[in-house]
Amino acid sequence: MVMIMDNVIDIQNVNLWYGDHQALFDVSMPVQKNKVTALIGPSGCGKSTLIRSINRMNDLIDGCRVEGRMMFHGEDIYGPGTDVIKVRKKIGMIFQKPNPFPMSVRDNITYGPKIHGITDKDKLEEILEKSLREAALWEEVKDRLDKSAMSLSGGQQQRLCIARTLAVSPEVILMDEPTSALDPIATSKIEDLITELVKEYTVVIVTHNMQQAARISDYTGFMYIGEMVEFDKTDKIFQNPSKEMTDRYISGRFG
Amino acid sequence: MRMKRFIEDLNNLVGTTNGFGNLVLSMAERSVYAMNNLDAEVAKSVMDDYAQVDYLDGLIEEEALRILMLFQPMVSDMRMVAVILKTITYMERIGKYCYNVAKAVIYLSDAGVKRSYKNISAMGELAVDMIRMVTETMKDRDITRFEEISAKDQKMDELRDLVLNKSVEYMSRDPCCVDVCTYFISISKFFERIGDHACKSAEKITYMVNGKRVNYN
Ligand SMILES: Nc1ncnc2c1ncn2[C@@H]1O[C@H](COP(=O)(O)OP(=O)(O)O)[C@@H](O)[C@H]1O
Ligand SMILES: [Mg+2]
Repeated sequence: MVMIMDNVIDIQNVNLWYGDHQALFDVSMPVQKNKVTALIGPSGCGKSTLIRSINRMNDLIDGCRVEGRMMFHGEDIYGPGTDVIKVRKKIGMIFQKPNPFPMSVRDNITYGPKIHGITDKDKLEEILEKSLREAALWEEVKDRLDKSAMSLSGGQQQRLCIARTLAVSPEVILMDEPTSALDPIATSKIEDLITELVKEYTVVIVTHNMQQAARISDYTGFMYIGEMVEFDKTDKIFQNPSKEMTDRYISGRFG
Repeated sequence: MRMKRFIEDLNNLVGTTNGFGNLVLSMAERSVYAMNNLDAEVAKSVMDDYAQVDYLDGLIEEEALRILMLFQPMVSDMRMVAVILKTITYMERIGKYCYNVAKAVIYLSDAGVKRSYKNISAMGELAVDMIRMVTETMKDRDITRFEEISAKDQKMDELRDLVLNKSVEYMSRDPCCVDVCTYFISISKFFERIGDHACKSAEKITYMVNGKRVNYN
């Protein structure tokens, strides 16, 4: 495996506990710039835990403790001097269930930039259009920017959440099963979008859909009971993995 | 979880493919026997079997595509279905060459030829060996068997050259035997092609078993 190049994030020997319960065991994984990295594995194996730990979303969970190093451009995300707000701005997160704010499409997008100090109206309008275009949503909502985000379809809401993340200029976008609540057409749109997004951003995605992981990702990590069993190029993982267990899981022999 | 239906369908596909392999192997054995003994009747049975080869080729292809559509197999399952799709094409071609050998045997027997060449018999034997390697490995996945297949293929090429040279020699000595010699040359060509297809099948089956790309030609 040659993948020392250009890692935006480098997860090094991470252990994580929820109270007494250890959920991650010595997990290591690189995340390459402008690539899609997928995480697969049976429910409860720690995919969400791992992806949440990348932007310190686990900080919000009581009793959660992390050991090991989580490097972002060579700096430890869990280091003492780290600004968590900045980390979450640079590393955005999309969840399974679209969670737009109960406000207008426009306000959903401009909320983040405003929080981060942008007040100029033209600048905000520019960010609004750019983010919605990048999320492949502009054409569908440009005439209803002041309508409630809740009136959008599930697929549109998910793309709105992606646009909202893009609005604060992140580098990395984490996605935790972003299409599992969507119909096939909305799912295809998100997949196409991800393929576009990696030209500018870096994506880490958790998915239960093997074909989806195979289609859209460059690298895949297979996790099992808190461990990273195998990490490699996606083609290798889905055609000829090194570990028997990976083969057995992907072909549905267990899990 | 792997659906019960998927496991059943996959097993059936493998079973039919193995049956297909057995049929082609049996055709090869009979075409070689027919050639060694200039036995038109046995040759006829080989020709008759080709219809079944054609049928099974189509049937297995259809079934494999149906499995791809319904279950989208992954990793080793995917390699298996993909390799079955490739291998049946090679097997169908081998069946066709057996048919061609049989047809030539009937011609030779009608022309009153009573015996074959030693080198052609050797080629027939090699062809049968190579096909058997493929069909057996399809069943037990023991790819160590393929260690010898390149050597056999090379031997096949050498024998074909020998047959060709000898035939040219005979033909220039006695123009009356041009007809017969041409048929022998064709038969040696058919066996040589069978060897090539067996090698390609062996490469694919190796990929099926361990995911590695190899070259046996
Ligand atoms: N907030 C939490 N508090 C306590 N335990 C948790 C919490 N979230 C997840 N876990 C536990 O951590 C393990 C990994 O869960 P999770 O990361 O959600 O897995 P996955 O996303 O792969 O389904 C499980 O055993 C789960 O019960
Ligand atoms: Mg999860």
